[in-house]
Amino acid sequence: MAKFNKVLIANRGEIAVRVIRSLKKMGIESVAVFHEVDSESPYVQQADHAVQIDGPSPVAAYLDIDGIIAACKSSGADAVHPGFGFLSENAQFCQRLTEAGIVFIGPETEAITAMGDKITSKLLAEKSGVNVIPGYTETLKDADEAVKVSGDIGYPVMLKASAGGGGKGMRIAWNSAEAREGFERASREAASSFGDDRVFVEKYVERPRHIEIQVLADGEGNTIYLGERECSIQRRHQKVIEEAPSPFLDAETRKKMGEQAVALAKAVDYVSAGTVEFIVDPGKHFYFLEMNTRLQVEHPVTEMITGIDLVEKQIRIAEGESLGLTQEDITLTGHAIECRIYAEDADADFVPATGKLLAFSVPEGEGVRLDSGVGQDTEVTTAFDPMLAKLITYGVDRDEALARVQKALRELVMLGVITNTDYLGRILSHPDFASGDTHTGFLDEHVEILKKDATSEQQRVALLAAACLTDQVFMDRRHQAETPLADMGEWRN
Amino acid sequence: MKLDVKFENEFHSVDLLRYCGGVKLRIDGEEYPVALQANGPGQYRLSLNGRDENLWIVHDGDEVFVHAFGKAWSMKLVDPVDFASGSAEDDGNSIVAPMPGTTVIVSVARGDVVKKGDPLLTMESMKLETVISAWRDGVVDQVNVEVGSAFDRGSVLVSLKEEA
Repeated sequence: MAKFNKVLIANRGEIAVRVIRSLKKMGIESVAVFHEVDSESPYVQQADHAVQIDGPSPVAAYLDIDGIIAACKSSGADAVHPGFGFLSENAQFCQRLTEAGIVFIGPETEAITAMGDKITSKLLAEKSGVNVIPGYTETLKDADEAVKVSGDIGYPVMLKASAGGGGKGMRIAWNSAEAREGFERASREAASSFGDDRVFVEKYVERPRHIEIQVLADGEGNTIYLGERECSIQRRHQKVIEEAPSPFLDAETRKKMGEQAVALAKAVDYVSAGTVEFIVDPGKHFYFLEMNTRLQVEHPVTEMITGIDLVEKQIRIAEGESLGLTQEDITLTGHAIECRIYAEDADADFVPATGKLLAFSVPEGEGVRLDSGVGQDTEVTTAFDPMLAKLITYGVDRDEALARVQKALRELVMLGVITNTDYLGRILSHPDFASGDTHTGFLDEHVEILKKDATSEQQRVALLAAACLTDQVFMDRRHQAETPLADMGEWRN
Repeated sequence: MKLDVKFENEFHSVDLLRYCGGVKLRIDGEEYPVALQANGPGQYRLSLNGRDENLWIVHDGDEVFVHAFGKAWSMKLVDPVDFASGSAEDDGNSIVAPMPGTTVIVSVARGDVVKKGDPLLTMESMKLETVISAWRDGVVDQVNVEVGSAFDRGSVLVSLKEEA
């Protein structure tokens, strides 16, 4: 068991700050790598050591395996934490580090490769007894076969044109009569739109919830699950709000999903933290989507309800320690909600925002956590993706966590760069969110959330007053028009 | 001292009135007694209309960022005097009155060739006379003012022909 002296973080921004925090707690030195545009970033200031890296673009620097390995060598790092994104699921990076005698804090190359391929991972899932979306991948001969196969899969089903795309040549069927008609219409549409009338069928998952299971495994094969996270609030397939536990799952479904996730992890001898993603329908039927062989952005909500520091666990496991936890040790207490703070203008079609953070103030209060990659005077540019921070709250139950995150969003001060905090607040105060009626089509369905509240006259007058009363020139007596009688009392035009 | 403030794509006029009791603001024609107290770096307490608000306020050039009522806001301060004396307009071809006033002198006519800085007209507003000068080289197109006539805020005073 070799303890690490120095860990290099092959990442930047918020997750680098996160990893550094655990490293400091554990008494391990941290090494940051940074492109010049990040030289003033908080994570660089907080790391014990920092090595400058370069590339044809800022992002390219963080993807340069040679550059990162060189930084490891020059800094004497024993291990690398890859964060998420960038090289975190790059099997070649893992391989190269291992060959260089540097520990990659994560699973082994084979597991990364196996889960990185959608077809391979789905086949592995099936073999491991994990539910996958039932589908008959061969094309249907005729309407009779369409009806038979649809019945085998179970309604509702989606009849899809093989050559289709963009929503064309797709038909939902809820019973055999609709399957027959749907097949015939889909074939005709496909023939006329794509010149190819082939149709196949798969299970249609209506109002799907995105629910994922956190797994943790050590090098000895001890593999456990740490409950689930629901990440159904997504805009254009990007997660916006996540929570743990899911407001929808019951203990039995949680247990089934958890056990299947563990079975899949074991099938690839998984080590470290990983996430198995599923979609879940209103009948609580769940189907495997994919496995992410890294720490996820939304890991904090799991940490809040389990009391476990996942980054610390990853590091200990990579050092060769045993998990030290059995499945029975894992209890889920309370509820946590996370909001992703993006530098974007939700009132202008989410165009990315830039600028200097002229004022920055973190909300205080019980159960409030801000994982931020930015701070006072940070310059936000379009060099990287626009996620600035994550605001996470914990409560004894969902209502308390929700009330706390709504309050914290209103108290979070970030001036100088437009952020999505108001948009997030509108999502959270929608009655369907409060009732837990969430699914991946939530934001598409509730377009009214896009509309910001009208500014009241009271607000407008106060804001105008505030702006002027703090302007030096405006307040300077020398700039006033002559009002010789003004000092004597009130006057009117 | 008067300011025009661009907020949510509209201009609002704000005027400072001092009197024995303190300070009043005339905002879009309405008067409000106000008081502002600093609470910490960037933090203030505003008293207006019998209500107190806690706000964060930061100035950056002519931009003002405010956090209040649980949200972030931004505004642009425009000094009508600066504006009138030749700073850029939206389409670069015309100058728009930043406040109501009267024309005192008209210095150009349609067809005149002007150089940047040449006087176009002199206006009077709030007992202040201001010369409005050409913001670029060009040829005078429309002159919509005449000596002694009054104009509203937002009216086009003089325009130059489109640049070639």
